Amino acid sequence: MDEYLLKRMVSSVIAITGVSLLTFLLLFVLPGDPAEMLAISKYGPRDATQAAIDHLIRQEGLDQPVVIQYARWLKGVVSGDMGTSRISGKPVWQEINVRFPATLCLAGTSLVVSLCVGLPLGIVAALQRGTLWDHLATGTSLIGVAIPNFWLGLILILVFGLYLGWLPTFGYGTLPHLVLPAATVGISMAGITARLTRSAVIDVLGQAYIKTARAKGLPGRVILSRHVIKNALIPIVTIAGIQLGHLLEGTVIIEMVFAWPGIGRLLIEAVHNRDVPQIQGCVLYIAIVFCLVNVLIDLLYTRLDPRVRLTDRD
Amino acid sequence: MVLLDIHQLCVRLATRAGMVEANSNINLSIHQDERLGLIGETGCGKSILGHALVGLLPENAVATGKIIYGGRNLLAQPEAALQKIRGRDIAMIFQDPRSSLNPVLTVYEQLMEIYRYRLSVPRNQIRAKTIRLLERVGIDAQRMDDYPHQFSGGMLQRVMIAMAIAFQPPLLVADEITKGLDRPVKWKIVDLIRDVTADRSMLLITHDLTVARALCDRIAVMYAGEIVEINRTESLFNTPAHPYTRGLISALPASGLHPIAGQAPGLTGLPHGCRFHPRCEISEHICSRRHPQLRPLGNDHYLRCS
Amino acid sequence: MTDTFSPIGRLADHRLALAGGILILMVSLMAVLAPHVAPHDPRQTDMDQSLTAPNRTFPLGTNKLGRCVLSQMIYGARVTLGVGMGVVLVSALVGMILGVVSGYYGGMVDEVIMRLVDVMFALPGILPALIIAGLLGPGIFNLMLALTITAWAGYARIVRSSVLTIKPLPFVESAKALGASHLYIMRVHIIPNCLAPVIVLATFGVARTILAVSALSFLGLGCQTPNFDWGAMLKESLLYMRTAPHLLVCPGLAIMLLVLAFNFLGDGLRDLMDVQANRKQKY
Repeated sequence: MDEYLLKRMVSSVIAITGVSLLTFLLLFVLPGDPAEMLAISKYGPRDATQAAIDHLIRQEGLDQPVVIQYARWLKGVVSGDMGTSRISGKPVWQEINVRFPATLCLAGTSLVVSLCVGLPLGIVAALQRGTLWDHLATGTSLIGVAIPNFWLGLILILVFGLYLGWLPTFGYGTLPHLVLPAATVGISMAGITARLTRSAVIDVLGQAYIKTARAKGLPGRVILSRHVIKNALIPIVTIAGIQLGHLLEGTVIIEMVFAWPGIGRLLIEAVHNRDVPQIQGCVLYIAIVFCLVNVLIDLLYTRLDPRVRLTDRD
Repeated sequence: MVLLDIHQLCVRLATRAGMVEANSNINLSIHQDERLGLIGETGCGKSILGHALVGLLPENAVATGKIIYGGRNLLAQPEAALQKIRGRDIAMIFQDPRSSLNPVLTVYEQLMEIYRYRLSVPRNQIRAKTIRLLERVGIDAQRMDDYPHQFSGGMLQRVMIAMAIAFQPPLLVADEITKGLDRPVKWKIVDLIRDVTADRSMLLITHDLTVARALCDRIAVMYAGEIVEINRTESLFNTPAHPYTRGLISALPASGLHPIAGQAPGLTGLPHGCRFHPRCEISEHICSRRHPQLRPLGNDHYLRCS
Repeated sequence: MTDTFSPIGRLADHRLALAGGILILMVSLMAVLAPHVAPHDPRQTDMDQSLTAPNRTFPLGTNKLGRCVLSQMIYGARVTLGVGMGVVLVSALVGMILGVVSGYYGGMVDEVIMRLVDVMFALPGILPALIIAGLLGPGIFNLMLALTITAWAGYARIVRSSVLTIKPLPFVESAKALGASHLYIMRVHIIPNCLAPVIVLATFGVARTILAVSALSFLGLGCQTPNFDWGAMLKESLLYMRTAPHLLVCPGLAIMLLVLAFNFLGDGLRDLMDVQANRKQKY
């Protein structure tokens, strides 16, 4: 178990470092002189004289080779300093920290919605395979998969916000504000969840050990809970792991649609404004969180499937 | 005394190629304290017959006829009634124990289910009873908290047997339980079966004639969905009447490994008349025209041949 | 999709895939023949007809500048479909080549390529493309570049695991024993056997790319007017959502239907190529 975990951590660190480095490099390949842009954003277009630019270059070390600059930045990160946002002037870390709860809140609620809608839908579809319920459930989930999530958000805004006026259409702060965004992300993810749950359960239902359980004359609900769901959890957890990627991705876009003050919106705005340190910070942050969660899912997986457990007693 | 009576059982399966008859007009009786063997090649429908007895036919199957047990026709019973009969009255042991056991539950958990959910054993006695059960089938009780993937094939088969006899059922249906096992392991399982079926009836479904001979009192031979011969074991092996039976016996290693010519027909392309006639060495003109019935020849001997 | 055993279920599956395929063909034709199919010039403005609801002259209404929505969408199909398929084609090709090389040669090459793949997957979903497109600036080409850079990794992974299962098979061994060159083995034996999963993934990939393109255009990172991408049309519809909902509904619906079509097709192809059907019951 430990060896596997170690290997995973190592490859994760490599991947994160790689992403971070690539983003850094990308910023150098782009049109526009970074020093000039920095000067403009700091002093305004009129005061960004050549002298000011030169001063900045020396101050920020922008004349050094790329790798050195990256190393400098990395060193800063390790000691807790991610630099300052070129737009707001505040520390990058602080900007992220302030917005993290919002994203967490949205992502968490959406996940719950997605599971509460998708799991039962998938299970029902699998158990009632071939009947009208199955077709309804499958059809709904197919539409859920195909619908552009930002469009769904806009439609919900139109209907519930503008026409019916029941819910606020943007902003953050109260529970009603959470409803539409979470519903948007949650519903569009529920489609995939339902689909994959359905095939996981169907797969399990077709296994020989279900037949054995039936041959033992076990009551249906016992078979369902002890044999079907316990085994279906394995692929479902894998699904959830894959879903987390979609969750983060969906959250980012929806934050823009609903003006939700989360990390996704922060990142997109930073990209718009070429706010280099902010972009770097956000990318690193998201990559680390994503990677950690994936490792957690892996660990969960080994707990669910005894065949994978690497502490063998044989 | 007849324990279970199968009367004109037909099982049809809906397949891509149309309706296929896996079991045609099966008439068979299993008596009290009798071990009946059902032998035949892979695909002859013997496994389906076993599944029909416990009502676990696949979704695409349609069964007609009667299976009389305890005065009731099992084919006409609702699922709730069948669920009570399974295990308690008729216990089935499946082939391929590795895939027939739940991989995420320990062996103990899968055995105690029976005591807990079916036999209403008080909580504090379950563990002790399970340990005794494991010892009965020759498994070290210390291993009961292990998972199926940690056991060998032979051990898993013992677990399956344990699950069946936990119920103390009057009838055991064993479907190819020695398939895939190494020779020494196979014969150990045979010994175990002989031991645990000493006081009950059994339907042993197998393609392995030597196992059938070692365990069974009577043997029914199946070919292409039909029973072609039934006889007492020793009589069957000493004087096999049906050409297919003769062929099976002479195909044994001990007899010189003479294979039967041709191949068993797929259930969609059955020959006219007698289903075996294309491969039969004594077939005559009438065999391709008229489909023979299963006729009693006296002394528990039945034969389907013109 | 329904994978029922009854003949009706199987027919339904095929029908859905067929329907999807037909829809895709129709949209493609429409896109190619846009000048002949569109009722109006999509760039022609007419302020008198600003924000009209669907009517006889303008089947899907007009936008703020009086431009015909239907014509915009027909021309927009060119961009949406074109970018979608183009990106998938290139990234699948690149991914397949890298995957084969990685799986076949193993060792250091494999390690490097796989680490690169890990890097691409370090950020979830659309984010890498979003960042790259955002930094490169708006425009179709940048959009396609960004999406291709992030998409190849998925194909590489799949192809690599395909290769790893094929490589030890006897027919590859015997080819080697007969003195075939690596290139030959890769070209003749390995690649054809990898194609099936790639084709399936590519079909779903087009669906995903269409969604990604729409999202990025909606965020202002992709196509700009006058290259009317369906996503960009949605962005324009924001201001007038309330009074002219048709501007919002039509492009979104179109995206959804096209994505559905590709998903159905992908499902059908997957079932077709799935030799081992999901029916595990042994009797």
